[in-house]
Amino acid sequence: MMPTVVEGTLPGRVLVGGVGYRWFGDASFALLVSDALTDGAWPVEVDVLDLGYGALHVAMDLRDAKPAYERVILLAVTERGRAPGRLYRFDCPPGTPQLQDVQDRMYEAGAGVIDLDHLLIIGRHFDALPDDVVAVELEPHGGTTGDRLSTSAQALLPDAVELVRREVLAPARSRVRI
Amino acid sequence: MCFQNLPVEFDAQGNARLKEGVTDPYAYQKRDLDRSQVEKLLASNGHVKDINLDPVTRVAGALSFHCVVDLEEGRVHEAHTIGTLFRGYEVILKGRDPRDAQYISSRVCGVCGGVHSVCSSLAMEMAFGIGVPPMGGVMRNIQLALDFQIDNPVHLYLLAGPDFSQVVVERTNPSLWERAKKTETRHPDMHGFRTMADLMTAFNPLTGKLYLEGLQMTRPPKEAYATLYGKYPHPQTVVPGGVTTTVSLQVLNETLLRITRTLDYAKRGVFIFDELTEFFYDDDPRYKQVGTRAKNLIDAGMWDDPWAYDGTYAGAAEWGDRRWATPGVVMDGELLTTNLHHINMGLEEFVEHSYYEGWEADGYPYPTDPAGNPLGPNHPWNKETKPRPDKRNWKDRYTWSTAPRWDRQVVEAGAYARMWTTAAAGKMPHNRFLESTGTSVKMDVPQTASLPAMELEWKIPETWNAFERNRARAYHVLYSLLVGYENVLLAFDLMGQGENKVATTTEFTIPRDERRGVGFWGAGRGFLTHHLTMDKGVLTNYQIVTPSTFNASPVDPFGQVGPYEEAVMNTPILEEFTSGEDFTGIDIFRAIRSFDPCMPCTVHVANGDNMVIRDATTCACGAE
Repeated sequence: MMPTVVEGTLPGRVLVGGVGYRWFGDASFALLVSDALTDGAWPVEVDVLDLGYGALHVAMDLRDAKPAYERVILLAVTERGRAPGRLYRFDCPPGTPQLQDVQDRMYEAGAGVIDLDHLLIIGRHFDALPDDVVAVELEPHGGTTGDRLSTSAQALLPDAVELVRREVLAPARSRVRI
Repeated sequence: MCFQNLPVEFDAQGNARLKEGVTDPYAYQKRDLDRSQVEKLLASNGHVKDINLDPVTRVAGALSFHCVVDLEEGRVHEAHTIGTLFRGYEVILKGRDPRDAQYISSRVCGVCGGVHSVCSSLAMEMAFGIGVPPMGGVMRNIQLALDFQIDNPVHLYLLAGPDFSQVVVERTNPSLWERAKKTETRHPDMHGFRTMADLMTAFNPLTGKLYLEGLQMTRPPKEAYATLYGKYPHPQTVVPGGVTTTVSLQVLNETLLRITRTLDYAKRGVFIFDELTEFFYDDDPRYKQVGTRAKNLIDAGMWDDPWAYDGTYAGAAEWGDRRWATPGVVMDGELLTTNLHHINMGLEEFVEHSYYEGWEADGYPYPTDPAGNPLGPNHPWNKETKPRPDKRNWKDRYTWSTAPRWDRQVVEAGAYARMWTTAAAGKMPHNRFLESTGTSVKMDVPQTASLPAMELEWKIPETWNAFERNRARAYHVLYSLLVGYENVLLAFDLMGQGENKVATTTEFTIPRDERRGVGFWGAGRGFLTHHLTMDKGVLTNYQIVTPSTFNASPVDPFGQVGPYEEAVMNTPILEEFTSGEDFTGIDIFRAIRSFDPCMPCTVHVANGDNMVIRDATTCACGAE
C-alpha cells in the first residue's frame, strides 16, 4: 500500500507519527498506517516515525528536532464514544494545559503508557509541538486483541493513508515558527 | 532447605527431588475469601463504604486500584488491584519463529522495551544452545545500565518525588511543612539545599529544580543508548547471541562521557533521598509503616560476567552467582537462595482470582526442569494463557493480572530487591567500584564534575516501607551506573585485546526438536523472566513474568493478598484533614508509588465525607 508521491508546497518540516501499542488488535491501527506510510516516497522534509513509546520521551525527542517540525500529523486509535469503525480527523490547537492535567499524564507516560492525549498534553506543556497539529484517529470497535486488524479496520487502512497524504500536502494553517 | 511450602526436598548432594509419599504433591485447596467482616462494616457504619470504579475515562492506564478507607479509624479495610487490560502477547507469540519474540515482547511497554529484548534473547540462547562473546555480553550490560538511568530517575523525581513536594506536603501535612521550613539539611554541600523546605520545593511537579533536572538528566543516557543500540526504547540491535551494534573507540568514549556526567547527578540523588527519608522518620516514626509489608523479595539477577555466562540452564547456578546483581529470594529479611535453579523451581503462577481458565485439566508437559529439578503444573513452563473474561467479583475474579508466587509465598520485585539480594549474598565479582559486604553494597565513586571521590554505602534496612523502597532506588541509580562504568572499561580492555566480536559467530540453525529456554533478567522495576518452549522451529509456549505481575498480583488461592494490596492495607493514614473533602490519600499514594514504574497512580477521587475511593493506573507491562 504505497502512498503516491507527494507533490506540492509543504509548510516546512512535517512529521507523521503513529501513536499506540503494537500487536494489540485494532489498537495498533495507527502504527500499521504509519508503517504503510514509511514505504512511500516522501520529500525530504517529511519524516514518518513510529511514536509508539512513552509521550514523555516522544516529547523530548520532538523538542530536540532541528530544525523544528512545522506540522505534525499524529495517527492514533482512541475510544471517544463516537461511531466506531470510522476515521476521524481533528485539529489539535495550541494551548497551555492545566498543570495538574500534565502531571496526571506524566504519571502514566513515565511508566510506559502510550496514548495520544498524553502526547498532546505533555507535548504542549514542554513546547514540543508546533501550532499545526492534526490527529487522524480510528474510533475502534471494542475488545479486539491479537496481532491482526479486524476486517473492518483493515479495510480502512487505504483511507487513512490517503487522509494523511492530504494532510501532509494541505496548505499552511498557521504561522510558521522560527 | 529453601522451600517451606512446595513438596521439594534436597538430598545430601543438594539435588532437589519431590518429597516421598506425597500422592499429589502440587495439589492445593483454594481458600474461599471471607468478606463478611468488610461487609458487616459496610452495613453497619456509614463512614465505611465500598464503591467500585472502573478506570476513569481520561486515563489510559491498564490497571486500577480500589480500596475502602475508614477515615475515622485512619485505616484501610480492603484493597484490590485490578488489571483491566488483556494484551495477549503470550497468545500472539505461539506458533511464531522464536526470533520474533525479542521484537514483539519489546513492545509490551512504552519505556522498558530493551529489557524485554534482552530477556527474550537470553531465553532463546538457552533454547538454541548458543552463547555470547565477551564484548557482546559487555555491551548488553552497558545497555541495561543506561536503561536504568532513564527509568529510575524518572520515577524518583517525576513520579514519586512530587508526593514529597512543597505543594503536596503543605496541603496534606501543614505541620510537617512548617517543620521542613525550620529543619536544616545534613548535607547541603552535597546537594545545595539548605533546608528541607528548599529540598521539598525542588520536588514540585513540573516546576521544581529536581523535577526538571530529572527530566533533563534522562538525556545523556538516552544519547548513549541511541548511539550504542540504535534507538530508545525499542532497540532493534538486540539478538540471540549478542548485539548487532558496531562498537568503536569513539562510541565507547561518548558513552563514558555520558556516564561520568550522570555520575555526579546520581551521587547527589543518594544524599537527597537519605535526607528525605530521615526527615520523615524524625517527624513521625509511623512513616515507617507507610507501605510496609513483609521483607519478602525476589530478583532474577542481571549483568552477566561475560566470561562466566554460557547460556545454558545447567550452568545457570554458577553463572547466576557471577552476575553483578546477584539473583536471590529474601524471606523475612533473610536471603534464602541465590541459585537460579531454586528461583526457577519455586516460581508458580495462579489464576484463581484472574480472568483466566486453569490449564490443569490438560496435564502438564514438564514435571522437571532440564536439570531434573521438580516443577509443578503452575510453573511458567507448564502454564498456559487461556483468557476468560468475566464479571468483576471481589470474592472470585477481578483482574487480568495473575498471581505469581515463590514457594507459594508473596514476594515483591523492584530495583531495591536487586540491591538487597546483591548486598546479602556477598558474591559480586571483583570490580573497580562495587563491593558486596553481606549487609550492604559499598560504592567507591570516582571524583566527578562537582563532587569529590567518595565511598557510599547502601545498607539493608531494618524496616521495609515506601521510603526505603525509594531510598534504595536512589542508590540503585548509582549502583547501576557504576556497573555500566565498569563494563565500559571492560569494553576498552577487550578492544585493546582485539576481542571485538559482539555476537556469536557459532553457526546455528533454529532447532527443529523440542527445546526450552528461560531468560533470567531484570527491568528497572526488578525481576523479569521469559520462559519459552519450542518445537519444530516455532514457539509452543511463551510466558512473561514482570515485576508488575508480582507486585500488582491479586489474592492467591491461599488467601494471600498481593504486594500492593498488602502495602496499602498496612498503611496508616497520617495525612492531616478535617473532612473527607480535604482528604487526598497521600499516604496511600506514597505506598503504591514506592513500588515504582509500572505503578504510577493517577488520582481519581470520589470522596464523600468519610468515604474514599482511589483508582490508580499503571502501564500495561504487568498485563498478560
